[in-house]
Amino acid sequence: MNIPQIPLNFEALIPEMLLTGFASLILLTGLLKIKNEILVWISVLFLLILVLIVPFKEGEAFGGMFLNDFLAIYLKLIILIGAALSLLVLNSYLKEKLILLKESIALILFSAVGMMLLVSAKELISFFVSFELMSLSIYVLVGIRRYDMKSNEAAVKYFMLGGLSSAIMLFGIAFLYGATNTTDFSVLIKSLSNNFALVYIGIGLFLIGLCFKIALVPFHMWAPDVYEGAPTPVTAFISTLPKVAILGAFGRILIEIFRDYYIDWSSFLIVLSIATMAVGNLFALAQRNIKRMLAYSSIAHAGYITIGLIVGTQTGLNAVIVYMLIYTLMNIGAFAMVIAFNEEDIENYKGLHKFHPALSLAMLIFMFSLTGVPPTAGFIVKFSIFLQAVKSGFTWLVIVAVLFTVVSAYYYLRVIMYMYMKDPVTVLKPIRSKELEIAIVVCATGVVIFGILPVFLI
Amino acid sequence: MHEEVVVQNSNNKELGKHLLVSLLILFLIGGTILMFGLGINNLHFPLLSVLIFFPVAGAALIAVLPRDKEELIKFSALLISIVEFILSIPLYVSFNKATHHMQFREEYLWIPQWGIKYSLGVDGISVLFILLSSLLTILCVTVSWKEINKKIKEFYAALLITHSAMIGVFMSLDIFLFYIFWEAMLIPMYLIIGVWGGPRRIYSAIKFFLYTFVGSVLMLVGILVLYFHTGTSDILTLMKTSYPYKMQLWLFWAFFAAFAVKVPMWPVHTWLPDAHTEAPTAGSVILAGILIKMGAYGFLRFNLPMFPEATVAMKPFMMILSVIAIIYGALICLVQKDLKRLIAYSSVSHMGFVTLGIFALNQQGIQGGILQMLNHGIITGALFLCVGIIYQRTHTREIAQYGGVASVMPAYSAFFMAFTLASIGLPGTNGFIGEFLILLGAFKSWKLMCVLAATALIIGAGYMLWLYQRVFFEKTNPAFLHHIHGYGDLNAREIATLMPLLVAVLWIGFYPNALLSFMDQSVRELISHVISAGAVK
Repeated sequence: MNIPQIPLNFEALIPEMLLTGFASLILLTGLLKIKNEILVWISVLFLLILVLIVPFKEGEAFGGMFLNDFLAIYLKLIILIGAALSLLVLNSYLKEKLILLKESIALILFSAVGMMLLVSAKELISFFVSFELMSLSIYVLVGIRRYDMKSNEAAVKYFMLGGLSSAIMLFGIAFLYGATNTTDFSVLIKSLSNNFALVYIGIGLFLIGLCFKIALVPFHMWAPDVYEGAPTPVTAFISTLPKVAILGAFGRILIEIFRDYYIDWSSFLIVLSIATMAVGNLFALAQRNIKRMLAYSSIAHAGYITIGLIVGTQTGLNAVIVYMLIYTLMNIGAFAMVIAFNEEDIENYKGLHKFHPALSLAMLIFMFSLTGVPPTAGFIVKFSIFLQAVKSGFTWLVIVAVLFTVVSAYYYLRVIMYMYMKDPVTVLKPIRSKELEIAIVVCATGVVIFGILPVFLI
Repeated sequence: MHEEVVVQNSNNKELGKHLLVSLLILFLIGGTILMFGLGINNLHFPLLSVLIFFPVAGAALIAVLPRDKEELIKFSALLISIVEFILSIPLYVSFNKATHHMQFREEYLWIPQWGIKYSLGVDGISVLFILLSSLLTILCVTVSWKEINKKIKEFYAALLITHSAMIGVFMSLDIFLFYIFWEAMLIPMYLIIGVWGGPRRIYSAIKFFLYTFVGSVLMLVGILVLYFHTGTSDILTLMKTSYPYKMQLWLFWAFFAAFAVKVPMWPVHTWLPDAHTEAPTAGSVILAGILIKMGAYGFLRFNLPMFPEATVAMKPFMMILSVIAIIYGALICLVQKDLKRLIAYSSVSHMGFVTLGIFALNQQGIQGGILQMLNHGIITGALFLCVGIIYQRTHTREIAQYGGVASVMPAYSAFFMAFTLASIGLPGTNGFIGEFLILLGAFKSWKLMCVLAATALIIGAGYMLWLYQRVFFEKTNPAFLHHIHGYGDLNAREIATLMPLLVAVLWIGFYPNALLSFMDQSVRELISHVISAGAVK
């Protein structure tokens, strides 16, 4: 038998391989007594080095299972930067809440590897495997505070529903394979039209599995509980980066492979998008816990982002990716503030401005950016999504979206109102940590600078 | 304790020295720029950008000053606003009145991917608002001198940033840039109302933000549609393009949403009394003086020239809404118990005149509308300053508590009288000119509306004079007068604050051409554009 020679082309995968090796090393260092700060800084530096390497690794590997194009590279940069920020945020938390830091670092890095592979996946099996690598690490991260009931509950909930969604997705993949006899995306495209019903069921199940992970309504039920229960740095991580990876992959699959079925999936997504914006924004209004509020707001943001996918063009997808970058900065920044204040009840943010003017200012920037008020970057990225939507004739959807933006203004403003306009009830002692401050400063300046000079962004 | 006083004194002396030196330096800079400014229209000096970014830089400077040096912070804010005003004088001096073209143009590519430019320029309509805004900002600083006691640094920084954003709105020639400034202004304004305002400040601040935000985001959709129809965001190009009638109607309403809320037109005016009442004096002055003018300015800059057919079609509707605002606002004023609330509702009525004039769609109406906007900024700004001055002494704004103020504060009463008469529209004051021109324009275009609007003048005289009687004459409230006695009549700072506005009232009243000549060409061009495009249909 003649086995076809497939060029493996390992070079394209060097960053992922390096990161896997590094993450394993971190696990091993548990045996040595290295100070946690040093470990965090080494990891951050390593991630930054990878940021420099990634852009030069364009190409295919493993005979087309793996593709490193411009889109994938951009997403990987976001993932690496976001992971570095999450690590900085994570470190300060350790002193307060006693979590297993070394394991957390390793898990975050493994999860990042999963995401990086996911955005490069060009084939259903590798897609699913990297998807699971990402998810499994996160399940553990959510429950990493072993002695905390809430954390445990969140982990179990996430694992159950996550497992279910993976199963549904796998089922969809099976249907697609059954219909086309291939798992390779590029072959899949050509042989899709053969078996109508099977393809439809396959696409449907596949989409539902993905929607679970990005918490689109009505597949969002797990999100608020998990976000609330998880340790805050982990919440910052799981509310941003997995969405970056999945939405990137999601967009590529929809736009490149299922293009012929555009009418079907776009109408499916339109319904989900509107429901997501409605539920996310309206439920966020009622929240008293800032983590839950941010959880619902991140559901709402998934709704806005979906509009970029509904557009169904490459430029729409680009708008989505840019949105993801800024969203990562804003959200990690906002969660970093929650960690800094070490307080979840919004009521207790009253009068914070008096004691911590600089931190309050940063929070002000994040809140206005999440609302989408210029001159912050939050506006620019929302604008770019709406721009693409209007271009493709979805003006009515944009009107719906902007009206929900107004709703969102109410709960974001409430945080600012409590900080600046109410008298303090309790004196919060913020956690003083250099790493945390660096993360906040990076996020805040990023949000402002990209807002004023979006040239670098788009 | 004695030592403390001495230390403070020596600190003050040192402060004085520093201030003198810095004053000198800044005036030298200002003077050079002024000399330079006489020929500035032909040079490539980015005057408009400087005007926008100088206060922002100033705000940054104030933000890094030490928190306990309150005097220093206040003086720096004053200096920055004065220099800003001096910088804006070249706009007035070297403005070419003979053309309707945009002047002092600046243009750079900003977001090349979308073809969006950082493009600035002023015409005869916008230049006046920039001047007014610069003037009012100085007065806002002086009037806040004693009123603002907490978070002083933040307050002046917010005030200066608001000023930047507002003049940015009037200068933008790119619709995207316009929107950025339009929205950016909400952030400092929200804080000014919500942090330094009265007892119900939080409710008012959120209401203000949400109302304006709803309008603005609908305009954003309109902007996107415009952008895709023409492929450009350049306002001057957008004005020249003609759009299909149906699209014009939709866009008219999208932009209407934003501008009507800002003006505010009836029935979306309810945020204004709340915001006005609760805001600190400086906030009320900015709101009345500049911020609500941005709505009417938007009508002139976007709705009229870009959607002329829709404008002509919607003219009756807009005039009716304006007249409702005029009469409704005036009637509501009669039953107000709170001094500031009364003036706020009178703003609704006066701004109704402005929109009535604008949608009369003739030369007199529009010129009157623009003039009335400036007048309203001056008069209502002055009235709010007056209310702030007396509120500081008595800590009440309830009209029933007042009485007999004239006997203890004669100078104050004289100022208030002058501004009251201007507000009523007595000939010789600026209020008369504006209202007269508007009614003239309205008469030419729809007689009934003119007659109805004119009745509000009578009501206006009624509520303002009745207010004056209740506050300044009548039976005195001894406990209340006691407060004022402690303070005395106006001090030099307060007189210096009110004087420029009184001068402006009389100056425009006797010589309106000083302002009318600026806008003449621009308005003429606007009218001919609307009429020719509207008549084609």
